[in-house]
Amino acid sequence: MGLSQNELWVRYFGLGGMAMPIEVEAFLLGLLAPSAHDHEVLVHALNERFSELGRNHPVPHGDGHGPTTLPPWGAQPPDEP
Amino acid sequence: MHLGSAPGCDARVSGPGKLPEAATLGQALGYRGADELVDAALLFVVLLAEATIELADGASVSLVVNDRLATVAASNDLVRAMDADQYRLGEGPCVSAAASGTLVRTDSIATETRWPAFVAAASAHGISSVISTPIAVLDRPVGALNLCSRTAWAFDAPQARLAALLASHAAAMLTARDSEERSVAAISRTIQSVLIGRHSIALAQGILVARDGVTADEAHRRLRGLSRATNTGLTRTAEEIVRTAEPEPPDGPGAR
Repeated sequence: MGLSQNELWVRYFGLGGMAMPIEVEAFLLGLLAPSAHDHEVLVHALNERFSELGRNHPVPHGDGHGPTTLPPWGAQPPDEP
Repeated sequence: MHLGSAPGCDARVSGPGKLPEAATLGQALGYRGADELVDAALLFVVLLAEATIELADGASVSLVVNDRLATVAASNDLVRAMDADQYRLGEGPCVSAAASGTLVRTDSIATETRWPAFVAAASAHGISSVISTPIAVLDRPVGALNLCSRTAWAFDAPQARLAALLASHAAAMLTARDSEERSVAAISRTIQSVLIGRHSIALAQGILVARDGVTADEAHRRLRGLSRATNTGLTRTAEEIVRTAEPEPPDGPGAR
């Protein structure tokens, strides 16, 4: 989708994300579970990219809209600590 | 009294307009750029040219700076004066080489007919022959490496080849500087837009926290929901919330 991991982090950061690039990399590899908040901000960043590409929001979000199939970084949206 | 949105008033008074220009961000962080290094290297090139080209009595690099030719490195005042004459008169080998991107040579000022005004000025300085080798950055001529001599017929093919070699090194340094400046400017712009985005989102979160009595994370969640529902970017959504929450800017000139 024409977005490097660094570019994704820049977008995530621009939307208010607070995790470091290395943490985001770990989320993407499934090595670290993001907080629900980080998870959603990342999903939002990805979906905004898809919108730019003329596609609808293909990455499901979990904001109280029931369980979803998640992107690679986790099996479940973890609860807030 | 105008009650709608005041024309001419910047609606986004809350921050973005107050942020510094992109380039100053790098400067504030202590970034000095490659300018000084390139200037020193260009001076090295002209000193090397004068030292290695036997009959050369002066060498300089002229560059187009702000749409005008200027001498950025000179081995002595003789060549500096010759350059200045050409910029002032708008003619001469350096002006021609920088404009055309081709090598321009005059072997004998005494019989030169292409630039009468420059010939008079150069003769007054005792200059008898001149060679100007174009300097090109990304295939675009941006200046010239100039050599002058008090001897007529001082520059032949071997000297021209050496001058071209040195000019190509000057061009390589200038190309590197240009591309670095471009990438620094692009990075500064990205940093600026990202910070503006975060700023708007944080402001909008604050507005929702105060207005609805929710946590910051919940405010962010609401912003995202609104962004999705309206298919508007999160940053734009936040800017809208900030804008509508702000008091109407006062009318009249200078109201910002």
